[in-house]
Amino acid sequence: MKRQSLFILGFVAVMGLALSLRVGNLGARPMHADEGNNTIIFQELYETGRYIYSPLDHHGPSLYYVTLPFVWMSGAADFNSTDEATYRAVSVACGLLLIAMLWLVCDGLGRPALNMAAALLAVSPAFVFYNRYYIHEPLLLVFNFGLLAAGWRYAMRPHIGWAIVAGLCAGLSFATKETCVILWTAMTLGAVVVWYIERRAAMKAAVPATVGTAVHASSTIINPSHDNTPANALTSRPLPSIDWRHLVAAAVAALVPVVLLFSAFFRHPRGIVDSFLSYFNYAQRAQGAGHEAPWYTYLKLLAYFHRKEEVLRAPIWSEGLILGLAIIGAVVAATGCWLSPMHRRFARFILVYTLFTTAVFAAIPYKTPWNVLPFFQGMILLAGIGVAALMARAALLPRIALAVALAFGLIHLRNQAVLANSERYFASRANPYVYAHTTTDTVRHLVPFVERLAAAAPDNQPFIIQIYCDNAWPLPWYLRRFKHVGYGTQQKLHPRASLILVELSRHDDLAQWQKKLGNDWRNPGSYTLRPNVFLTAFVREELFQAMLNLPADPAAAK
Amino acid sequence: MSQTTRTLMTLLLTASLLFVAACGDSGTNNNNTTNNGTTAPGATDTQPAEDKGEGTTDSGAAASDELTTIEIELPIAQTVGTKPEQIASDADFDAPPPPPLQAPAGAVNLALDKPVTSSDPMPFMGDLSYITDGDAEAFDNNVVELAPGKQWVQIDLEAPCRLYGIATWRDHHHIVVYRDVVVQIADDADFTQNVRTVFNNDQDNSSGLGAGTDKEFFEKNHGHLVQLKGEVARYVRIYSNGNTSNDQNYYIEVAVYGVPQ
Repeated sequence: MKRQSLFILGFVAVMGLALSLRVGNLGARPMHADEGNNTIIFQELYETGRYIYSPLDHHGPSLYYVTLPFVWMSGAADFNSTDEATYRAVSVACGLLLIAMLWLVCDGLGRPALNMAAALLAVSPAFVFYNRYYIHEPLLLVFNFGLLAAGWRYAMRPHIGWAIVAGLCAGLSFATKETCVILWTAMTLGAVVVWYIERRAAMKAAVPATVGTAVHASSTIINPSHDNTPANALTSRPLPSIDWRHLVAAAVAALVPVVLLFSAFFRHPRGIVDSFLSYFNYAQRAQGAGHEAPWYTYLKLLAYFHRKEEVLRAPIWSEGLILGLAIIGAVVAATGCWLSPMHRRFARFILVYTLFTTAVFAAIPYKTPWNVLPFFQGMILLAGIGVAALMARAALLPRIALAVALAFGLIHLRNQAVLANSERYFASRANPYVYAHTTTDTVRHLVPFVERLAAAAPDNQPFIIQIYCDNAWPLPWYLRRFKHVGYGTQQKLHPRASLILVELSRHDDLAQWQKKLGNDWRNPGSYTLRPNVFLTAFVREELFQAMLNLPADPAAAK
Repeated sequence: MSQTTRTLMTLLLTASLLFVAACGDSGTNNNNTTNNGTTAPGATDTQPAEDKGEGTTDSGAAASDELTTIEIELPIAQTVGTKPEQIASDADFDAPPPPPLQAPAGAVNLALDKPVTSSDPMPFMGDLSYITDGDAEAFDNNVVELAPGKQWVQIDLEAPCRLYGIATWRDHHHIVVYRDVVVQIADDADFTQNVRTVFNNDQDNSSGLGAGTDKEFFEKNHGHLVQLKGEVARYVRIYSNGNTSNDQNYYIEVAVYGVPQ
């Protein structure tokens, strides 16, 4: 079998592995508050075609538009009959697409590095976990990497088609999440640094150089036998000079999704302006907004995580293997040793991109664990570059030893990914990627309890639920089938309310509410919405007694 | 004294003794009927126990015993949270300590080192013997983790005893509420003879042991104490059905206070 066929076969196997880790039991984990929030925003778009961008909260509209075909294909009759797996399938598709898109930079990365990076993306617990999460990051990474890859392709062979693709991806990433500007800045910086280094090298070689050209006289191609890409058979192509027509085409292409999506296809033109104004708000939120953490939080989370003081039998988590390999890749990229000119250019670009994004996300006080993905993707690419360089350099026996060690490392990462998504840990604080997550208690006890009460409620009266809680997400998702649900701590008690859920902040809250409500109300139990967020239920005694008389299966009751 | 007189006096004496004895029995039974209740000190209310026993109710033979306060040695409170401010907020859930245990002088922890069985004979973590080893501290190596869902632990006191309190410490690392807590006592290991439910907060009967009326409670270092009035039983069984944090059932210690019969 030819070496090329082997690489392709290996890549297909990696895609299969990635798929198997992402699709199983997709709907089992309770919806995170942000996931629930996204589904409710999607609901309005799905049911009415309306979308109003809020510059104060939430992120861009692209996620909701991309979700539409997934919901249409799911066969759901309406929003109420959609399920968690349908929404999370969007992120699964993004995760797989992100790996497949590595082929767009194959000539820059090299096939060994590509396959290694693909394997690490496939099994990385962070990527697997958030590729099963209905949030904006997986989609942002796809559009952002589309921009990066199209930019790379354009740099290798300038063509208006790649300029337009790059523009579209830039516009779509802008319409996905505000943090895209950090990634764009990192890409720009990477391009400038590579241009500067190559220009200086050209000048040193005393070869006439103009802006946008580079010569690589001193390059050493170490690994010709392991990389037969046509691009690598040549020395590096010079960086292109800027064609203003292409730049305009890219800018127009970028504006198209921004205008269409933020304005909800011209229904809400104000959204376009708000998409830019939102940066004032996010600059403020970046200071923390209750999510402050030290600068090293993300690196520590990836290197070593063990919450033994808080959770019994908490496992140790680590993606240190990727960090270690990324450091090797960074050294290889920085020195340029062991790399062909083409690979060196891409490696240096990725190095600058990764260093910048890591530094910026570390410096921003606001920290949530899914924000590791943008810079961790860069680290994974560097890790691929590091492994490829080591494998190319090593003699036979060390190469075999390295391959065996990497295989064990990949298995370890894969096992952690499986554990992180297991029922025991997918919502547990022992899991490094779980952040203020909805408890299983909500899904297994609170929601069935409410549904059972509703089944017992008289048909001729509305079943009114009032929820007194500062942040009740994702309950609007779980209670989407109920028409009469009130949220907020300031709401007046409805005279015909059937069920009240109250957030307890002190132990005597319960007694005070019981006193306020009187003996017609029963307090059958409490629930944990998120860690340290307790909801206690008050039900009308009459309704509770009716519920006790229901048959065991609430569905059979109605 | 004639033979007839001696016979009449003997009959009178016998009748008197029988009358006195009958009065004594009557007094004991009345006491049992009126005081066959339990307190749930961790709860806000005191609820009458529901007699769900299939046998007859035991006589509370200790009605005449003078009750005194029994000191229960509490483990250290060591609640943890993800952030310091959360730990601070946990303190807000410090309900007033439960009323002290009332039992006759000399009442001891009868469960100490007694055999423990469970619906999950192979715990995920720890050993069932930890539950009666006398150590209620919330250290990892004291915790027994049973399978998810409805599970029970059972203690064999090895002889019928007069019981005054059943104290349970689940994992009090975290502020959680355990679901469907039911405490029963019985005369046999299979819980078919003289079963009495002395605490039940499974209000919607989701565990299928009957709907209870007791309140839920937050796990704290003071544990959960069910006060009894001298009921006689040999076996104690405690049910739970996961907790508000996860589906697991964690136990650290169960102490049964009373006196041998």
